[in-house]
Amino acid sequence: MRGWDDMKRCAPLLALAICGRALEAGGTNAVAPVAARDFYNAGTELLAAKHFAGAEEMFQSALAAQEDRVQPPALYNLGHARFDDGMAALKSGPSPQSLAAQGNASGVKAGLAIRRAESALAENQLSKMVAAYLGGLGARRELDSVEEAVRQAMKTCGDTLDKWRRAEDDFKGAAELNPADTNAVRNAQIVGQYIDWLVDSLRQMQHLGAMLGERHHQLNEVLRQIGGRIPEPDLPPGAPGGDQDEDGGMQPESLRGLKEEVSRAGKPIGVRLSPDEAKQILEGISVDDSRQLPMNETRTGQHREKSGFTW
Amino acid sequence: MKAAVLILLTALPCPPGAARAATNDCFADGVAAYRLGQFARAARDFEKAAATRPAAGTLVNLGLSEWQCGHAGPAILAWERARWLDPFDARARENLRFARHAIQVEAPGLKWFETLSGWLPAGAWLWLAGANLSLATGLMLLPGILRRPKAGWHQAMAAGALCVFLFSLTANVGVLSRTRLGFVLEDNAPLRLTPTRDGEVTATLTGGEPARKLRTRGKYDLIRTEYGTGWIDRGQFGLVSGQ
Repeated sequence: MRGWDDMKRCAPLLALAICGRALEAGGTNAVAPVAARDFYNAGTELLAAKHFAGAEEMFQSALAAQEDRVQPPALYNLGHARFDDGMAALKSGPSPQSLAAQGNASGVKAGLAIRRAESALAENQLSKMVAAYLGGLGARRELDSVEEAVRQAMKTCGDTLDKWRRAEDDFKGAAELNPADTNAVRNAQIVGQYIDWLVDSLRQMQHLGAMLGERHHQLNEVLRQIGGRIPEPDLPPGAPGGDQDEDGGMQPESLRGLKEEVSRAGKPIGVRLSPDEAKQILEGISVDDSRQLPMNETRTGQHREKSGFTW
Repeated sequence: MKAAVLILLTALPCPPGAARAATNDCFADGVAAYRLGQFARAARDFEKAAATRPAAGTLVNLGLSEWQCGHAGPAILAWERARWLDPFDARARENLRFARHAIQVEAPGLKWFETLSGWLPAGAWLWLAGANLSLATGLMLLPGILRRPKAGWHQAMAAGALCVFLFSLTANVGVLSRTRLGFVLEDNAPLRLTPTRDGEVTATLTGGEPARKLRTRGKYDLIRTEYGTGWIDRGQFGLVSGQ
């Protein structure tokens, strides 16, 4: 009996401790979703917070639980999450219109560089060839960057297209599961229109990429021809080789042994530059101030014998 | 062993007079078509024969015809149905072993009471349970009704019958559980997340893969496979029990 009395006395304290523990757990730890409804609610919260990838995962888990009541709204929201995710990815990159404008401008510049190079080749004047060569290198660099941007944009568009196609199927599925859901039907139609627009944009980018690739090829060809005509000492510093020549450009080794073209009179062509031509050439050379090596005043430049191990 | 199985597969199907084979016109037509090498027609005839009068021999022949047509899923299902009707059919068993090895699919994983239920034809367990229950009841009640003294053997037999009844009850549970067992009929059958036409595909199943049916919605079956649970078009899945 005494034991029972002790227990009764301790009961309020015990209850208080249990309640405190429960409150603490509720305040600090979020309860992990376990049922389809929990997954759906968690997904909806994430969708509202614009965490699309997390929302997609939650809705998929809600669907995988195979609960008939939860499936239609989860599928509808999954379509929303996927569509919004694709839209966000598309907005993070350059717009297809600006990219097209940029690509067209680069294409025009490359075309001009090609024409200048061709006329320099026809005139066979070293100074003009050097200038055209430098101009061509600049145009090629710009083409490279635009081509890379187009590639990235096409990849983003491709990923978005996959997401939107899935979103369209999700909305169609939601309408199939719940025929009364006219919103799902309407959303499927809207996503379909967006898909058409995206496919058109992708086609335009493909054409742009093809045009840029062709210009790149022509430019490489003409630069190779000019590089073959310019004697090694007259080649602009840093012009051949390097990372710009990875796709068919002139390699330093290939220039070795080439002789300067001999004029009709049998004398080598002298390099005579007018002040304007010299200015043009100098403007063509981009100087990167940030990459200057530090000057060393103490080192004489003599070769130092290395002693010890070579590793 | 392999040669024996191959012979078994390429051998002529059961003649019309074979044991447990249906002796209707469709069956005879199927045998004739099979002998002529018209396997698709033979499969159609055997299917009709099996629908009219299911028999293990007919189903074995149906499986052979389907296998010759290159339809591994329907062939495996037909042989499994043959074993459902007659667990002692060695040809169905060997053909199943050969086909599963050839297309690299696993046999269904059965629980102990399901394996137990495969020792006898599915219908036999019900008869066994009924007969033993009747026997036990009779042996317990009849001596009293007939006003005769209960002998020791009466009680021993009643106890034995009751044991067999309980044993067959377990087997009947296994039979009931096996009615949910089925096989994928088509190659590359999509397993979808939702019972919709364009539902997200979670896995692609090979013809002949085992699965358990959980429920039905619309024209889709919810099945559980080793790749997970999902929905499959009803036409791409067949139950062993044929229901």
